[in-house]
Amino acid sequence: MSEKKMLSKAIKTGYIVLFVGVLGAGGARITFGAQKTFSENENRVLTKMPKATWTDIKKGEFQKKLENATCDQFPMRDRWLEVATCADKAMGQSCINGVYLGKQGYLLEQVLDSDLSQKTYKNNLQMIKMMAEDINVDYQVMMIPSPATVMKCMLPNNAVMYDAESMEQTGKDLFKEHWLDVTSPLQQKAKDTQVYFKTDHHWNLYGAYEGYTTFAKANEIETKSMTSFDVRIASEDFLGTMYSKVLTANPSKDKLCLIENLPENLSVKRDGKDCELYDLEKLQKKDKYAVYFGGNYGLVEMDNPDGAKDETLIVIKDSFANSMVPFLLNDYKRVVMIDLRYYTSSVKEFIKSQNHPSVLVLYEMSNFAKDDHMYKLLR
Amino acid sequence: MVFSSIVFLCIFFPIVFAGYFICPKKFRNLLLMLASLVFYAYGEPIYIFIMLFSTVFDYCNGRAITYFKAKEKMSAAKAVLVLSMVGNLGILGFFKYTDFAIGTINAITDAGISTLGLALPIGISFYTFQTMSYTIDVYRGKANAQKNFIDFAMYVCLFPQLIAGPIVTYTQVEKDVHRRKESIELVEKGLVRFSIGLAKKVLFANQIGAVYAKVSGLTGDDRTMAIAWLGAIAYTFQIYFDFSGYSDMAIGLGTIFGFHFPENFNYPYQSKSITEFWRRWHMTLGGWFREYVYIPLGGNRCGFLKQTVNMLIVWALTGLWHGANWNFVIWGLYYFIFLFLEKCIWKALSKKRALDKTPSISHIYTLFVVIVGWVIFSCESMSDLGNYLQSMVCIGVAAGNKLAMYEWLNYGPLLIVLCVAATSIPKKLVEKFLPEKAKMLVTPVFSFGLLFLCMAYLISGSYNPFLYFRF
Repeated sequence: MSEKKMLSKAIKTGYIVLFVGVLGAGGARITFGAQKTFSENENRVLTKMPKATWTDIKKGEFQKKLENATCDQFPMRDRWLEVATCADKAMGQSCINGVYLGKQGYLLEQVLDSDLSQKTYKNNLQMIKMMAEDINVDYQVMMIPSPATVMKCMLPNNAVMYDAESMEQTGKDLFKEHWLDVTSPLQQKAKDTQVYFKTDHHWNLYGAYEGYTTFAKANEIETKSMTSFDVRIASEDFLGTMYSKVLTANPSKDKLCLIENLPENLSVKRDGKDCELYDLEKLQKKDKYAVYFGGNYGLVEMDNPDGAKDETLIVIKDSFANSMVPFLLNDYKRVVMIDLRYYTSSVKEFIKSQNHPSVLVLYEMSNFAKDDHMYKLLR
Repeated sequence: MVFSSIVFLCIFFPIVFAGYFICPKKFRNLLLMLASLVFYAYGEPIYIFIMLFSTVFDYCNGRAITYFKAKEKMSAAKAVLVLSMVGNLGILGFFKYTDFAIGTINAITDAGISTLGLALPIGISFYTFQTMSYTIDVYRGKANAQKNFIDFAMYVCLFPQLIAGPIVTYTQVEKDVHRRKESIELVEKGLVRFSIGLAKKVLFANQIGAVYAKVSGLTGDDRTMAIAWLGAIAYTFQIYFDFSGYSDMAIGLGTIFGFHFPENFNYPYQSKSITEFWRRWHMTLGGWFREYVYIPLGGNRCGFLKQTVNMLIVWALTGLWHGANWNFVIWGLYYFIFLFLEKCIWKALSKKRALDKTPSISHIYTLFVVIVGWVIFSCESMSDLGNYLQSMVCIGVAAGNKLAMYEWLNYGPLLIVLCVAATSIPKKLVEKFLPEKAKMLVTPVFSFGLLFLCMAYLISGSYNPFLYFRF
């Protein structure tokens, strides 16, 4: 055999052994290696290698779990995800997994008009109105626009979002003086201050402060300056839900701030059990936004005997409210948050049972347009 | 199980590969058969019995035909052949077309018969055609009946081409089944081919397929002519890279184990006529219909009218083979019309050499017909199809908007890569500029690079559909 032929054969053999060997080694590691249960970066439970039973195999359940487990348990999974994102970027894509790769490290969720049903949005708004008029309670509605609709300049070139302005107008037309416009103050503020997280879908403390001032002005509450709330940086390496969707290499980590100037005699109850306003343990976890109240609960009651107003503010809300409500605790004797996703009793009955109740409906706009729990208001 | 999954790549394939080459030669067919059964049972733990029945059934039919032919009882041999046809087509018809037929009857007569709701066994259209080709060829004397059941069963359920082709007739692999030579060269060649096929599926088809999925989900003002065309072009690329990628993987895997499978695609989107397109697209299916339907019907030997009728039958069947729905029949007949027109006009045009003078026009014409064809293929309901076609000609929608512009620009680079990758240009460039010596090293590195990227996408669990569940 000539030297060249021998070399060629050696290369080919090496290639074959490496090709099949690497695949086999990956398979062996998945099957026999230690199983991971949770991915911090993706913020989700991982599938573990399933046990084969005939019933599961027959139904295809075993196969489905195995497919998921082999991906979830693959060695260095996060690095592989980064490679995939990197390859997408190299192909010039600026929207990966439904997330725009914006400027200055902003990861902004893509929400198109097609993703939202105007009918559901209007129905949801209508249900609020029906509820409030039915029990004759004082109420206000505030829809927080999605980050990308406020910070259009941070979107990739030519990128598109749903028409938040027309949805804002729909709300205004329907609710008149009950509608609180938070879009304009946020847009104004966003010019010089960061009001949303870069890697998470929520507003940050500065955005929430704009929500607070909007609400306060409309309710004749004296607005206090941001500094008077004694702001403290609780974490400097927050990577939120948008990051979990794209896992880019070298993301812009976010600062997560908390206000320290809280009422002295405040008591907080989550679904009837005492708890702290800030669940500081959550700062050690991936989903650091859950530091507020430890996440979302059906009913959160905050009582402050030193509160200025002898009224009960009932906030019907999604997670955006969690960072805004702390600003209001000095102003009310009692603030209650209801999360319709988890609350099962009658909202109307609850409101009627409260001392001087008033209602604030506080949602992120696209979230609200997709929400299918609003019917609970009418029960 | 599908090739583009971690389960196949990291568990099934390494085990079968190692097992196969450790195994003594005489047991290798048995090993492949068992591996193939595991492969199929993984996806169809119940319906595997249908495949096993088909296998035993046609094994017996083959033996019986040989027996009767040896005794010169030709009518008995023919009876067995008919039995085989009825059996095979009966199973295929029952599982694939019963609900379609019931639905059609209900639509016409208001009979309100309830459908069976049967799931289609994976790959049934492929393996039924393979076993039918076997009994027909044994009857015709083109193939010898296989006496060894294991060898025959291995042919029918051989996992590389079992679920999505190429459709390999028995005569094409008869020699390989008995005696095949595996070698390092073949394994290398097979792995390279496999990695290219995997890349076509995972890096190209899945990525561009996500665009089509997104476009078809748009509503209201988001739907425009520009985005409808993007969607149609995306689907055109998706189905080519998915299907030809799958064929590449199948052929590559076959090569690894020493089989010589027929080619299935030959750069179809380079075609300059629909006639040419169908010579380059899913070649084994076209070949099958020509060999076992068109020619037995008389082909082009019985005059123009008979030929036209034969073509009509073949194309209605081709459409129906792709799925039990009217849109597939329409799709088949749509191609019949163009093939028929080309047959009539072709002669006149080629005499004047008009076609040679206008290669770009013929190319654009062909692609246009093909793209619209895929829209028919992909829309299962007539109202969806109508809406989509209307969008493409700007009826009821705007010509474009910002979203359409964003998506076109966002996927522009990928589309350019796909345009080039769908032609023979890369292959020609390699042949021209890469010296043999460099090839020795570049090929494995390239193959590894593709595998690496594919693994990243598969692990990240991005969009990875299986398109052949209707076939």
